[in-house]
Amino acid sequence: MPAEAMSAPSDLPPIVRDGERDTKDGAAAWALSRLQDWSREKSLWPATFGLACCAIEMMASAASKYDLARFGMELYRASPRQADLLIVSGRVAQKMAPVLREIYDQMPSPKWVIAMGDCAACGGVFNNYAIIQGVDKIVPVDVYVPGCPPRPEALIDGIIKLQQRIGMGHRRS
Amino acid sequence: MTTLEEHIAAAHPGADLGQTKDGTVFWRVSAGMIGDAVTLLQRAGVDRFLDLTAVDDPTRDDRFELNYLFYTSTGKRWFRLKARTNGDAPSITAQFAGADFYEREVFDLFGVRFVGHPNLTRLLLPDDWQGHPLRRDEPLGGEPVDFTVTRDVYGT
Repeated sequence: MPAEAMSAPSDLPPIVRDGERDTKDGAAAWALSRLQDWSREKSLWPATFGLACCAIEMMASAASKYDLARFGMELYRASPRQADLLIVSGRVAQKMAPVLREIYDQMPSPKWVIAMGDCAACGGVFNNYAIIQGVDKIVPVDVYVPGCPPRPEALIDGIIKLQQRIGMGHRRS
Repeated sequence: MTTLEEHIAAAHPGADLGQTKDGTVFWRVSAGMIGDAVTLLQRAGVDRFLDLTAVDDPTRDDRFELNYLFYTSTGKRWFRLKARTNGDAPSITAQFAGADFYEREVFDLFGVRFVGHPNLTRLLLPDDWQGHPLRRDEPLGGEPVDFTVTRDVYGT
């Protein structure tokens, strides 16, 4: 990885680092944590959690034409306990919110969240009583992918951006 | 073969029958008569309950208009039943078991209480929800957004 990619851009949220990643612990520990970041980056396992029409695009991203497997993230897990990426693909109803939060809580750390589409980002066109106005009110979001729905290219771009951050050690939980 | 209208006219002379714009015959009854009306329809061959919706007009005293949709599989025709109420209506779940969830939905979103329903709880919204969101005097919810077109709605 080139050296300039190692320093996080200033607009990112504060990076949570393991104590062992401190360079004062020695070069071996540092290298090990780099290896850890790299392995996390290269095998993201998203949870199978389709909420609405964005889920169709999410499925298309995983299917043969766009093929997420090229980037090492094709393995959609049916159990949140085996997943480390939650793609919120669609609008979240008030009744669904506790379910989504429970799924997030069941995922083992470190874990990341992508808000896919306008509805997950801010409620989209559903500005009413039934829909959560942005999923960041209930779970921390790492990447927002705009679109209604975003094309598979956009979702793949969002996941790759998240991978770059993970490779730099970015994690929030 | 006697038609549905003839059955109704024989039992209730002067029944308020009409036709919707799509050609479906409807029968307007008082809310207290819904149970009897459904029994009569069943005897006349109506064997399928299809839908129950409500329309809210807060300017009226009996603000909710219940709209039942039935189907006769022998005669292959649709039939509507309309009734206005101020908040209470008899349940027809005992006559048409399929009306169970529809009545719960109308109760959930409009607050119409169906007397005699075996389990009248919320269907779509969480159990601890306050209010009935499809009533016209309920606030819209969501977050105010300051666009020209939304100023009237939110008063921003």
